[in-house]
Amino acid sequence: MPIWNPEYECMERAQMRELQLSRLKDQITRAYTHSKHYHAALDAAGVHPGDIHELSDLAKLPFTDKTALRDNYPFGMFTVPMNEIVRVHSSSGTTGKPIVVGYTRADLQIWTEMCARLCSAAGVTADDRVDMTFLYGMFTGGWGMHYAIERIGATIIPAGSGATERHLMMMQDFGTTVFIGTPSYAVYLSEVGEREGIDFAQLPIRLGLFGGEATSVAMRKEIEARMGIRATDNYGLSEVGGPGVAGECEVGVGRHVNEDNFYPEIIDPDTGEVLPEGEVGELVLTTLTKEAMPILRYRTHDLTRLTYEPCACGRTLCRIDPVRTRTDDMLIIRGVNVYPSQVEDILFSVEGVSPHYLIVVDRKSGLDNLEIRLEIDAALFSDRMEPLVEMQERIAEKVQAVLGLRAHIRLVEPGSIERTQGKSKRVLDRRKL
Amino acid sequence: MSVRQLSVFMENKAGRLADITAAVATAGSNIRGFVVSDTAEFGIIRFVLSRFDEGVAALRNAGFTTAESEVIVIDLSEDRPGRLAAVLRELSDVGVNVEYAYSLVDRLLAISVADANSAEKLIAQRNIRVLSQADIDSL
Repeated sequence: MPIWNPEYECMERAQMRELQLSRLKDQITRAYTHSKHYHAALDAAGVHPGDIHELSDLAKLPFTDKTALRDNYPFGMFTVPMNEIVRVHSSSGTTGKPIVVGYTRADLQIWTEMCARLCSAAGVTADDRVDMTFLYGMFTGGWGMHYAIERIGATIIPAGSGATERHLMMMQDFGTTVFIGTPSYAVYLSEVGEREGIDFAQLPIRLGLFGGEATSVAMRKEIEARMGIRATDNYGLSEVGGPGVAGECEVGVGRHVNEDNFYPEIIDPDTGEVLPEGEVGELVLTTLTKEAMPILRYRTHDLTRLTYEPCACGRTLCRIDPVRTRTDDMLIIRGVNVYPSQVEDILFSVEGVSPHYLIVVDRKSGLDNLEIRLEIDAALFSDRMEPLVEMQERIAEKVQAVLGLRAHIRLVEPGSIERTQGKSKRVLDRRKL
Repeated sequence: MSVRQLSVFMENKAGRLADITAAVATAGSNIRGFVVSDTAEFGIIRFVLSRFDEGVAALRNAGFTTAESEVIVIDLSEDRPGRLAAVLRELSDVGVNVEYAYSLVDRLLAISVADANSAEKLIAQRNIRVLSQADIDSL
C-alpha cells in the first residue's frame, strides 16, 4: 500500500525524537501560556515549560482527565481566540455536558493529513468509492475521514448513519468499494443485506475501515467473511481531535501512531508510572501540533502496548496493539474483573453467535447477578427447543470456565437490544453501588 | 406431500403471541393450526399456514426470527372417541416415530417426524389420508 507521507512516516528514529522534543516544548509552552487550566495544573505540579529538556521529562507533567475537559465546557481549553477557531466538534456526551474540541485552519489540515495516512495505509486509492456510514454532525469520526478521502482523491459517498436500505442500494448501484464505520454497523448492514438476498461476494466492496469502538479479532473475521472484504482498524478519540491517531498498514500487526503529531506513553493505570516498551498498560496521549486545543498527557482509559520495532511496511512510526478494552468499561462482578470484549470473545467462540449482546449486571440480596442477553437471529435459531437450550448451557459453561462466574444466558428477539447510531450498547449495570 | 411449517422465535412477554398472529393476519395468511413450546423466558411458536410465503415475509418484516421445516398432516377423518389413538397406533405399527404432534382445524393432525419422506411411504401402506400444502391453502 502506498505510504502517504514517507518524509514523516519513515523518518529516522533519532530525527523523529528531535522533532518530537521540539514540538513538545512548543506545545507545553502554548498550553501553559494560553490555557488557564494548564497554567494552574503545571503550577500545582511544580513544573514549568522550561523544565522539559528531553522527551522523558514529559513524565513530570500531570495527567489530563476527561473531567478537566468537562469542567472547562464549552471553550475553556482553547488556546486561541474564537475568531481563529474554524470548527468545533463534541463527544456524544451520554452523561452530563459533552466534551467540546476546537480546530484552527491549520489543525484541520493536519487532521486531514493524518486521516489520509491511515486511509492510504489501509489501501484506499483515488480509484475507490467510499461509503461513509459514520454520523455527520457533532461527532468527529465522519468528518475527519471525509476530508481524508477527498484529499486522497477517492469518491466519497457521504451517506452518514442510518438508512440501511439506502446504503445497500448504493452499494449495488454506485459500485461502492470501501466501507467506513463501526464494526457493529457493518454486522448489522450485512445481516439486513443477507435478509434481502444480497450476495456481497458479487459486489465490488473490498475494504472496510473500522473505528469508533473496539473490534475483536473474531468480529473482524466474521465481517470479512460476511461482506467479502478485508477489515482494517484505526484508532482515535475526539478529545485529541478524532480519528487519525493511529492506523493499520497492510502488515496488520499493530497500528502506526502518527508520532509527529502525537506523543504516546503507556502507563500503569493504578500507579501512573510510565511502563517500558512492550508492556500492556493505559495509553496516554500528548498532542504535539495542536493550535486550538493542546492536550497534555490525556488518559485514554484504553489498554494497549507499544513497540518501536521496525515494521515490514517500511514505516518507522511506532505501533500500538489493537486497543483491548477501555479500562473504564471494566466491570467488577463478585470481585472478578470482566471486560465486555472477553464476553464478546466467548460468544464468538460458540459457533455462529452474532455480536449483538448485552451484559446486564444486577444486585440481588447483596449478590451480583450476571446476565448475558443474546439476540437470536436466523443463524442461531433452531425450530427445536433442545439446540437452543443446549446453546444457552454451552455459553454458560464457557463463561464459567473463562471468567469463573455463573451467568444467566437470556435469549432475546432480534432488535431488542438498543442500538445507537449503529453502535450496540454492551453493558447495562443496574447495581446501585 | 409434506406441509410447510413455520417456526418463530418468541420471548415470553405479554402480547407477543398477539403481535405474531397479527403479523400473520396482515399477510392474509390463515392459521390452520399452531403449537407453542416454551421455557420460562422464550419459546417457539409453530404454525401450519395458508399463503405460507406471504406469512413468512410479514413476520420477517416485523423483525421476527423464523425458520421453516416440514410436517405431515393427516386427516383423522372421523370425530369420535378413540380415533386419534387408533391412528397413532397405526403410525406406530408401520414404524413412524412421532417427535411431536398438534391438532389443526377440521380433524387434522400435524406430526413432526425425523424423516418425512420415508414416513410418508410408510403411512401410505395404511388407509390414512395425508394432506399437501395445496390442500392446506384451499381449506
